[in-house]
Parts: sequence; structure tokens; C-alpha cells
Amino acid sequence: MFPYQEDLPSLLHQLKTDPRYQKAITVWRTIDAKEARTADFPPSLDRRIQEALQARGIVALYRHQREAFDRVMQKEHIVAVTPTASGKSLCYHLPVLQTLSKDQEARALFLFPTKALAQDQKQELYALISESNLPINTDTYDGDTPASIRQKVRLAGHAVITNPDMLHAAILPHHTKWVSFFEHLRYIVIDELHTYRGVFGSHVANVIRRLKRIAAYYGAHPQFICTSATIANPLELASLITGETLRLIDQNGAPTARKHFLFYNPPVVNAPLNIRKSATLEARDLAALFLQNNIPTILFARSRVRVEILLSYLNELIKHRLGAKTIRGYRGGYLPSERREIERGLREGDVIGVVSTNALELGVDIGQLQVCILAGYPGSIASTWQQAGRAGRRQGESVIILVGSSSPIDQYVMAHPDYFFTQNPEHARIHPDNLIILIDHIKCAAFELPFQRGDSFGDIELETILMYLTEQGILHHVNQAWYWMNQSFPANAISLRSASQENVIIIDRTVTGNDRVIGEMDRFSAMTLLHDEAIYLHQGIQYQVEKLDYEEKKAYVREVSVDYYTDANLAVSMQVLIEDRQQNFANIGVHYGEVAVHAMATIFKKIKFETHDNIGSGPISLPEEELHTTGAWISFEENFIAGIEQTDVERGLLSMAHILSHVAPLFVLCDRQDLHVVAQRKAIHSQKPTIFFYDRYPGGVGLSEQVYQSLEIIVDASLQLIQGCRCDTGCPSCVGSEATGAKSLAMQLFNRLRKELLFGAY
Amino acid sequence: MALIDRLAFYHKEIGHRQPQEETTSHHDEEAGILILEKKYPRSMHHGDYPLDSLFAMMASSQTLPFAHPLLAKATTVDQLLFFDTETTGLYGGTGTVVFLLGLAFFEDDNLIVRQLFLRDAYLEVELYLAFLAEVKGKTHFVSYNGKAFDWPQVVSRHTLLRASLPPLPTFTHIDLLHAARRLWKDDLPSCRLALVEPEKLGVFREKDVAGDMAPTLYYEYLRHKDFSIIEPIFHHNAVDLLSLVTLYTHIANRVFAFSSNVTPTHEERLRIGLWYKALSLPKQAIGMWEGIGKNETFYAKAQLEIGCALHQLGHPQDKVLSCFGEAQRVQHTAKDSLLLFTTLAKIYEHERKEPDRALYYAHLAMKSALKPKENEATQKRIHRLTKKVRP
Repeated sequence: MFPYQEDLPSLLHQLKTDPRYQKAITVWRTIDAKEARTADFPPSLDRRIQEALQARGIVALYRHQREAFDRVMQKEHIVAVTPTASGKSLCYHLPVLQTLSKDQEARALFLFPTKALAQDQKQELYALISESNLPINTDTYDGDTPASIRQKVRLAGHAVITNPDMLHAAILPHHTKWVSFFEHLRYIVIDELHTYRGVFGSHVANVIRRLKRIAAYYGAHPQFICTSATIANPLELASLITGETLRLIDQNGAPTARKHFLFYNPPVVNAPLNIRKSATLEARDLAALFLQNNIPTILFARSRVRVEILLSYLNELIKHRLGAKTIRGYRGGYLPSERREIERGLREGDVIGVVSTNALELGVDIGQLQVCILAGYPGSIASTWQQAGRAGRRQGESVIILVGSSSPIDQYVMAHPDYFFTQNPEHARIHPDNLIILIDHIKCAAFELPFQRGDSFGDIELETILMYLTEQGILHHVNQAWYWMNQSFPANAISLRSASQENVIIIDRTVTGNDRVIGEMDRFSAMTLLHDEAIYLHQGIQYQVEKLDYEEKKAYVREVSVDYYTDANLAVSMQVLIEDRQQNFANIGVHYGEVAVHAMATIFKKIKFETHDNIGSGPISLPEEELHTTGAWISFEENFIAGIEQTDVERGLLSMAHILSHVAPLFVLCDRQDLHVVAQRKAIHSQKPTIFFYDRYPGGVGLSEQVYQSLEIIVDASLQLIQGCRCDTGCPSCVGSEATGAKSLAMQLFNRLRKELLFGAY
Repeated sequence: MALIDRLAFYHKEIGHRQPQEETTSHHDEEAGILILEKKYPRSMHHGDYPLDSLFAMMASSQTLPFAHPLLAKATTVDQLLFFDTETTGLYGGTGTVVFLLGLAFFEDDNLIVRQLFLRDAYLEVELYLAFLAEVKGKTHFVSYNGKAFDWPQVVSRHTLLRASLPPLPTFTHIDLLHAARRLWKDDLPSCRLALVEPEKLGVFREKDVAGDMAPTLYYEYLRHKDFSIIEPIFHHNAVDLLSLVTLYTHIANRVFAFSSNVTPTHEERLRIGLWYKALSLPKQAIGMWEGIGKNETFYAKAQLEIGCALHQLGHPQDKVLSCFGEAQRVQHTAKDSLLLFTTLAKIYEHERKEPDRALYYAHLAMKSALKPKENEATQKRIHRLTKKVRP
């Protein structure tokens, strides 16, 4: 069926020697294979489990697996740092199964960040249990669990697998149905701990506080077993999330196979403007090279939209060679049934290629992929290694190709490979005591169990909040206790994942009289992605939004076929509410405090696929959204901008904001969406030129605070980025503008700023 | 106004007929929960029924030779407890508190309505101790949606307090919402009690609050500790309980044809028959359907069901075919048509050995075989029959 096919080594040779590729490949590092370091099975490990492992050909444990087992058996809480494919599951499976096999009453809760991952892990756990012949019931408990099975899981499930959302909205508020489970809860396994950062992590930390509170009510004090990908602060994160002192296990004993890690910087097509070929197109072509030779390949794109674009490109390209069904899209917004089907196809091999957002970054077991292509830098070192880990999970040579896009952050990484290869991975930050998040969860906790005088929850003055909620008519205070006294079911109104609390449902009405829901999206994203006339992509199919019913939270879409996508603008105004901290320099001030953000979607543009031409635009009429959060800002005195034309000041500020918005997330480990940067010629509060950074979540999650503290490093890196850029006068990859002088203007401003920060202190 | 006067005031109007006689008994003054009791003479009318029409129904129940979820057999009237709660939320969950436990039962010549009220949140243990004492000796609970809502809420609260409480009783639960849905789901826009009452029981509420106001009024009461705020809910709850008594009678009389002067509508007959069918009581089902006369809307559907039931019971084909003949006089839903023509095809193929007629019906069945599986099975039948007809 296929013409002549080449194998991986010969394709690697081609990449190395073909001048077409040679030029673009700026970094080629080979990471050598590493020998395994092992330890014997623990003598106490149940004979049946030992035999089951031996039957799989496992005769010894990796050292970290053995240490995890020993520590847990010594009643320590642990966090194990485990790169992809290091056998992390055994770190928790062995001690948990050991205990459950000895004690029929004992229960364990497994938390995974997504349903897909829970499903995958259920199969893995189930296999080990049945091979070991242990009388242990395990099942998932999530939105997909049929009602008929739920009761059985509650009463008789020894190992219950779920996700934080389900724990939050379905298990804890109904804990009286789980009495026997909570009474005997011995272990809480938290896998993929590193994903619990930012807003989501802050919520999850509070859900765990509630979980511990309920467990304690039933007399249980469970032990925590956490696993995390490599981040700079696993121990700190684990202890913030669990509220316990844990033991860190980070001596990884797993072997690794040989990996080639390539940086591919697309060729410059317009030298003066430093415009490069699209990373999406280059990544597509590289993927096609491997796929056409029948080599299993995964392609990661950063946004949902790009996944869909790549998918339609690739399916078109490969159609005649591999058949329509063999390359699939994978992203968070798909319905569970669609995702399961894709996962199954991947495991069983009838899917040879996957185009994914970082939904697959997590440890879903998808079998043998030999090539991993990243269309654009994923935004953090930790994420990049996670995605890279999808290739060659078990053995054999594998290739990872990071294709740089024109964005400043990508170009920074392309030019500074050591930033990626030698720097410590980022810190994962959470802020569980964010007042808004905290109060949300105190409400949920009060619903679950009345608060008694002297109770605690996190590190705040609980009683003050309880009295406040009493005044609000939400709690009822009597006899030293606070009772939930409100008609609502508080967990329903609180979503762990999304900044805005109500999602917009996307309804396809292509077939008249047969409306169907095809996905959902948070409200803030919907302002720019689901406005009237927006083009929304789902499974490679284009839909046009006919109407966004913002009140009802519904977007009605209809299938279309057009050659453009849409891109919307958001107008933002900033108000300073309280200034908490400031550092004064000769001609600038750096501040940190609480801000009010007003954001409004204004217009959208229609942009042609291949050429990226702007082919039309229209207004967006949606109400303004308001956000109270924490922010950091730099205000500039007149002296600072001395000698710069009035008209240039605004342009210069915009360029600076553009670069900072790309660079800052690199140093505070967050998604670009989580930290926004806005430049204003005259700030409302001071009338001075100002650049604001703000957390895109009510109350803030510590990102702008980090910016306030690390501003000097961020400014240094921004300056390096501009200096290192090969454009002449400015380009989208650095200052974001091609206007004459933009680059020198931004450099001038950054140099002044750097000088201020270094020498300008009073 | 003193509490006692307020209570008197609120007692004045229950149901649309004036109660002939009512008495108020004890209540706690300050501390503890409040137990409120009202007595209604058994002969009192609530809507179209006297309360004690239940007695005749219960007596007839004892003689039936089969089991049915509506039946309380080997049971006397005084073992029945009518049960309805008011809660602080409508979505369930551990934080939803039952603040009013409404109980009704017959004692001597009266229906006693006893309402256990949670005066403040910390008094729950006392509330459930009183409840457990009240329900001693009751073997059957009659409720409206109690299986899905009221009882699970009680179980949830009891679980929270279980260290201080004896276990909950076991009992048979008769949920009249299930029955109402069986009978009237196509007849009424919804089977809410507030809708069933005027339509089926002749109960018209005046000056009554909506049931879903209960949470709001209770919070108001807690804030102000003013009893007049919550009084309307007591009234509402008491009317609910009275309606449970007569609704139970009303439905059971129809389902079991206890009284010669009760004539179910033809639609009810059809639905009751389908309920029997679902309970594997085909003879009772046929009995119900046979009461639907020739000129009635549901006649053809009933004949179809009778035919199928007789066929399954192994009755002679003539009888079955004559029912199907009647059934064919109208157009049925796709599902029913498929059933009808498939059964006919089977009879003609296997019993009558007339493959050409069987093939004719198989083709008719095909028109209604919408689902892939049905389509496949019918296709197979057609294929087989075609071979038989033209070997």
C-alpha cells in the first residue's frame, strides 16, 4: 500500500545532512541512555503482588519505587518526583495495594487532574489487582460513572479513582453517603501534582483542606502519596496542597533511552523584518515527513485553534496515504466519548498520529510514539519536558523537535538553549489563601459540616470570615457553631478550573431541529472566541457563531466552510484600588497592590489562513467584564522619558508591554493567559506613563507579586531578547511592531529601565 | 400576637372545606424543638374525599392475590404513616437540613397531624429522637417523592448525628409520585402535588405559600425568631399530608378497581395496564385494557397490548389475531407498529405457516424499523421469508 518507507535512523540522517533542514536546526543535543538503578522487592511486599510483578518480567524495583514503598510503610507522607516513563505508578500502587490486601476495611482515594487520566490509571490499577488476585474493588467515580454503579463504588470501592472537581462537587457535599469510605480512608494519592498550580492549584489545596476536615470528622487521618513531574519546588507545592510535612523522593532510578532533542527555527522569509516561516506550517511538514513513513508521531500545538488548523492541514495531506481515521485531534474541549475513542485508537495502534494541546501532556499511557514535535514552545521548561516525554516512553531511540514560532518567548528560547537545557525548571506557585477562593471553599465546608468555635481552615482568622458570612445571611451562628443557612448548593456555583465561574455552552444547530452540545468554554475566553460571527473550530470542522447569548451562557454555532479565522481585540482599563508595597527609584516607581480591571471585547478581524492577510473586521457588542485582582506596576516619571518624542512614548510603552507579556511568564511559571500586561500613556490614578501586570483571576494568585520581586531579571531577559533578535528595526518576534525605529526605541527604554533598577535606588 | 393565637389563626383554613373540628395541643415554650399537633375527624372531607375513605381501600387491599408497589398488605390503617418534610434547600446534599418533619396517621377516630419543627440548628438530635419515638410501630411510609428526596435527606442528617441517635427504622416506602407519573405523565404538564390536587382530588388551596418558599421563610424565621414568618409553611405541610391520604385512596381505587363507583378514564386504564405489564402481571393488565371500549381513543393501542399479552401467555392465535385486527384500524407509533407487525409476521411464519402473509407483515414492520438493530433483525426476517416464498 505504501511506497518506499524509511526508518527513523535514515530520516535522522536526512535531517542532519539535507541543507534544507540543516540551516533550520540550530540545536541538536543527544541525551544518552541511562542505566537503571534498582533495589530488591521489599521483603514485606505481599507474595501475590511480587508474583504478579515477576510474571510481567519485573524482578526488582527502581530505587525510587522502593524508597516510596518503605517511606509510606513507615507512615510518612511522600512526594516522589518522577519524570515521564519512570514507573511512577508503582510508587503509589505498591504501598496502597499492600495495605488494602491486608485490611479489607481500608480505603484509598486516587486523585487525577483529568477524567481521561483517571480512566487510564483505572485500567492500570485494575490490571495489577487482577494479576495479583487481590480481593480489592477499584473503580472510577466521575461524571461518566453510571448511576447504577455509583452506590456500589461508595459502599464497597476499596480504591476509588476520581478528580478534584468530582471530589469538590459530588463527593464532599454528599459525604454522608460515603461513611464507610471516609471512616477507613488510609491513603490519598495525588498524581501529577505539578498540574495543581495557579488558580486551579489554589482551589485544589482548599478542596484537600475540606477533604481532611471530613475525614477527621469520621476519625480518619489519611496519608498522602504524591507524584510530580520535575519542578523546582515539589516539596513546597506538596506541602501547600496537602497541609502536611512530606518526605521528598527524587533519586530517580529508572533507565532512559537515547533521545535526540532538536531546536528547529523556521527559515527567515523576510530578512529586514525578521519574519520567519510559520512554525505551524513547518511543524506540519516535519510531522508529515515522519507520518508518511509510518512512524508514530505526536504533534503538540499550544492553542486549541492551532490544533484544529494543524489537524485539517495534516488530514488533507495524509488522506491518500494513511486513510482518514489515522490522525486524530486531542484537546480539553472534546466530549468524553470522543476522547476515549482517541485514546483507545492510540493504544491499539489504529491511530498513528495525534495532534494535541497540552491535555495529553499528562501521563495518559498512549503507547509507543517515536517522534514528538512541538509547534511552538509550550511556555515552560517543565511542560516541555513533559510533552517531550511522550516520545519513546519505553525504549528505543526517539526524536523531539521543538519548532520555534515568531513569538518573542520562542525566539528567546531558540537563541538561549541553555536557558532550557541547564536552568532549573520553574517554580509552581499556588495561593490557597486567596480570599475569594478561600471564602468559596469555607462556604462549601460549612455546607458539609457546621464550623465549631476553635476550628481552623488554612492560615486565616477563620472566625472573622464566619462572622462575615453570618452577617451576609449565609451562615447561622448559634451555640458556638456556624451552620450553613442558605438555599443554594455552594459547590455548584464554584468551578475549580475556570476564572469566570459560568461556562458558555456551545450548541451546534447545523441540522434544524437537532441542536446538540459540542463543547463549552469559560466566559472570559468566550468574549474573544465565541462572539457573534466568530469562527470556532472543533475537531477540524469550522463553525460560525450565529449568536452568543451572553445572559443565558449559550453560543449557537453552525457549520461553515471559509478560508479565514477570527481574532478579537480586548480593551482594558486599569484602576489602582490599594497600594501595598512600593520601591522608589530616581525616575520610576515599582508598585504592588490591588487593582480593578475593566475589560471589553471591541472588534474582531478576519484573517486569511495561508497568507495571514486581514480580510475584514466587525464590532463586538458584549458587556464589560470587571475583575478585582492583584497587580504590579511600573510608573515612569517625566525625566525617564526625557528626550523621547511624545508620539513615541506610547509606541515605546506598547513595545515594552509586548515583550514583557512574553518574558514575564517564563520567570513566574504561568501560562501567558494567567498574567496580563497593559501599557497606559496616562494611568488613571497617577496620570503617569505606566505598565501594569495583573493576575487574571479575582483576588490574584501571586503572579504579579512574583513579578514585583523579580522585575530586574525579567527586564534583563527582555533586553537580551531584543538584542538577540536578528531583525533590523523591530519585528513581531521582539517588540511586536515593524515600524521604523521601534526596536531601537524599545532598547533605549529597556536600557533606561535596567539602569534605574540597578543604580537608581534612593 | 402570642404564639398560641397565631397558631389558632393559621388553623382556620385547611383545604377548601372548613374542617369541622380541630384542636391544638401542646407546644414547647422556649427551649427545645416544637411539636405541633392537629386532629382532624376521620369523616372530614379533604377535597372530593372524606379522609376515612382510606379505610375501605385498605380493607380491600388485603384481599388481592398479587403484590404491587402501591399495596400495603397484612397491614392495618394505624401502621401507615404519611410523611412529608420541609428542608432548607431543594438540591439535597449534606448541608440541606430538614427543619420540619410532618407526620400524619390515624388514631382512634381522628387523623393526627404531628409536625416536628427544628427551632434552631443545634436542636437536630432532639428532633430526630422525637421522630424516632413517633414512628414506632409504623410499617409503611406514604410520601410524595420521598424515595428520592425526603428520606435520603433524613438519612443524611441522621448519619451526621448517628453517634447520638438510635438507628433509623426500616419500613416499606410507598411513593405516590411514582404512581402519579405512571398514571398521568401524559395527562398533566407535570406531576407536582400542587397540580395533582386541583385536577384529581378537588383540593384547591387558598392563601397558601408555594412549597419552594420554605427555605427562604425558614432563614427569615431564624434571623428574627418570629414564628409568624414560618407559620404558612406549617399550613402548607399539613395540607400536603391531608392530600397524601386522599391521593393514596384515589390512586389505589383506580389501580385495583376496588370500588364500583370509581371509573378510571380510558387513558388511566391504558396506563394502569402498562404498569401491570411492567410488573409482569399480564392478566391484571389485560383486565384493565379490556375495559376500554370500541369507540375510545386508546382502543387500538389497548387491543395491540392485549394481543401481545395473550400471545405471550400462549392463547389461541384466533383471539390474538382478532385483537391485532382491531389494533390495525389506526396508525401507531413506530415502536408499536414494529411490535405489531413483527408479532404478526412471527405468528404467520411459525404458527400459521403462511410465509407469504408473514412476508407481507415483515415488509410493513420494515417501515417502522428505525434503529439499526431493529432494521437488521427485520431485514433478516424478510430475507428468510423471501427464500421460503420463492425457494
